[in-house]
Amino acid sequence: MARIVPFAAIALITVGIWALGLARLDLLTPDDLRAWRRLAALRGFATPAGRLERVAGAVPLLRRLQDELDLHRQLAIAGWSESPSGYLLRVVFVSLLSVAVFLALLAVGLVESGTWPAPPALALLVGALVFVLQIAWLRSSARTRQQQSDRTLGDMMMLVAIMTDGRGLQLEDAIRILSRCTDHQSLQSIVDGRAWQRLIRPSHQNTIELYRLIAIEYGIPLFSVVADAAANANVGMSERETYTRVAAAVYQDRLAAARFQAARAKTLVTVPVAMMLLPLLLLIGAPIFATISGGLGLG
Amino acid sequence: MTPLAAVAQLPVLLVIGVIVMLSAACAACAAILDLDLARLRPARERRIPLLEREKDMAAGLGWPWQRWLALRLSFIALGLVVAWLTGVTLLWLIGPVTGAVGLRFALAGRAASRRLRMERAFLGQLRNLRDRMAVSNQSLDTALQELGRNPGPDLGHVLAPLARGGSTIANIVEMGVRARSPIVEQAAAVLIWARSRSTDFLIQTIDTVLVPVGEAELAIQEESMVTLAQQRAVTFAMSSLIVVMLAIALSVDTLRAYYQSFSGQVVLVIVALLFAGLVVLLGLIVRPQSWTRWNLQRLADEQERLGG
Repeated sequence: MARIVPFAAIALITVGIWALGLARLDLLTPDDLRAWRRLAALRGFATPAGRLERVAGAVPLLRRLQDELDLHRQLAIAGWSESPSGYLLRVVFVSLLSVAVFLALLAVGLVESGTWPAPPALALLVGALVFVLQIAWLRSSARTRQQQSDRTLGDMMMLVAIMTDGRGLQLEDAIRILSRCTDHQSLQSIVDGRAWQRLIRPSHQNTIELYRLIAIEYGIPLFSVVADAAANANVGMSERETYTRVAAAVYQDRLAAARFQAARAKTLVTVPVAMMLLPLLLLIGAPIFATISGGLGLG
Repeated sequence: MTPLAAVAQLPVLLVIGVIVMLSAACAACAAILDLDLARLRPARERRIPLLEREKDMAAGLGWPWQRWLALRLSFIALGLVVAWLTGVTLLWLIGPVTGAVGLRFALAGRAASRRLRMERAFLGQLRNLRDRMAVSNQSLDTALQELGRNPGPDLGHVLAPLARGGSTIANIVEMGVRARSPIVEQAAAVLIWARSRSTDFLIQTIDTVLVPVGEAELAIQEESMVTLAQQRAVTFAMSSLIVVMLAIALSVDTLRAYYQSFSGQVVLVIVALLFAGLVVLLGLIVRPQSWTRWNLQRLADEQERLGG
């Protein structure tokens, strides 16, 4: 009986999480209401929180976890469309699922050999590991998107200079058009897909203000530099000259970074070279050790 | 009793019921995990990053990408053949992996230096283009055609489309696609957007934007090349060291006997994994900078949409 209790508890928890997940899908919501909510979400308006989200918001532990993990901001930067509560629910669900799968595997081992192949408590460790990995994945996605956006914005400044000066396009339009023509969608989803509305209230006066807010909220400092350049262009400086100067500054920065990296690499490569001793010692030492231990009757 | 025979003896309803339950569970999992099945299907314009990298490498070497892929596959096959001929179990794994990674690694330096040479030559041709427009009073289209006819040794394949007639924009796009170089793509993008302006505007653009920024980009590429060369030199040194040590170890009878045993094979696997880990660590320490790649066809379409 005592051996069944943990399985029964885990099964109950899994079913509970499952039921909560199904409730989150709003299966009972009328179609027209769902359509209105979808339209509101597409236009960037706030939609009323679901029952589950209200519950998650009311539980102090979950609220604190969301705040600590900075989930709202991280999800917006990573460009993942879930709400923090929904994401947290999914992470918990996947962690519990991995615990259940691991326990099931252990149970198969128990049936086959009569003893636990590994301590059942290890399942909790697996669950915790899966939880941490999912959070790390989100943070890594957010960082990648920041870096890609920053790089693309820098690379497009030369073209922005031509498009604003030669073709008379507004800065915002030029950046939006160019963001659609790159090999990834990181920047496009922010400036063209209006993803910025997830972190910034649409109360800014102009593009310069918007770009400064994006720089702060999304952690992409180049937006701030572009905003400063746009402010200069607004007071009469040539747009081509201004944005070309930004492009040149970006490449000077990258050149400095590349030189620094090349210089640092000269020192850092000594680490793997020194560590190369390990496989070499192993290659020579393993047979010698085997011979000695065989001679002493240890092998 | 085979598993198939055991399944065949089960009642049909039970099997169908289990399949329905599993399908329903998968659908519920997909719904809870918020999987958008439509997005899992590859979009029409989506590029496969692995294939794009192979195409970049082939372009760096100046080969058609089909030839490069065929060569890589034949080296993987060669690794398998070596494993089959020697009969060493471990080589069934190490052989194809070495064939796949080794060839790319061996030719990466050559591809990078060739690409750099091409980019340097391209900047020279940009100055040439400027002089043709400023001194010889040629239009952009005529000057580009002239460049296509006299491309120089490193740019023959890249500038060839410019020599053809037809749409200049399409030819510029084709030039960028062939080059697969961020510097050439940037310049092509500028030419696409600036083409319909006056000749003075174009000359000024080349003088004040394209050439200075292109030189800065080239300097970054050169620094990256230095980094890449360091990485390759150290990896070659490490590989040589381990091969020499292995050869010495295998030339001694007692050591060779040990490495033919099971525990010896395990040690060899560990050594190979450690070596691979160190090479990966080296790659992480000296990682060259990446660039934004432009979809020139889309850029040309956007330009067309705004009135050419």
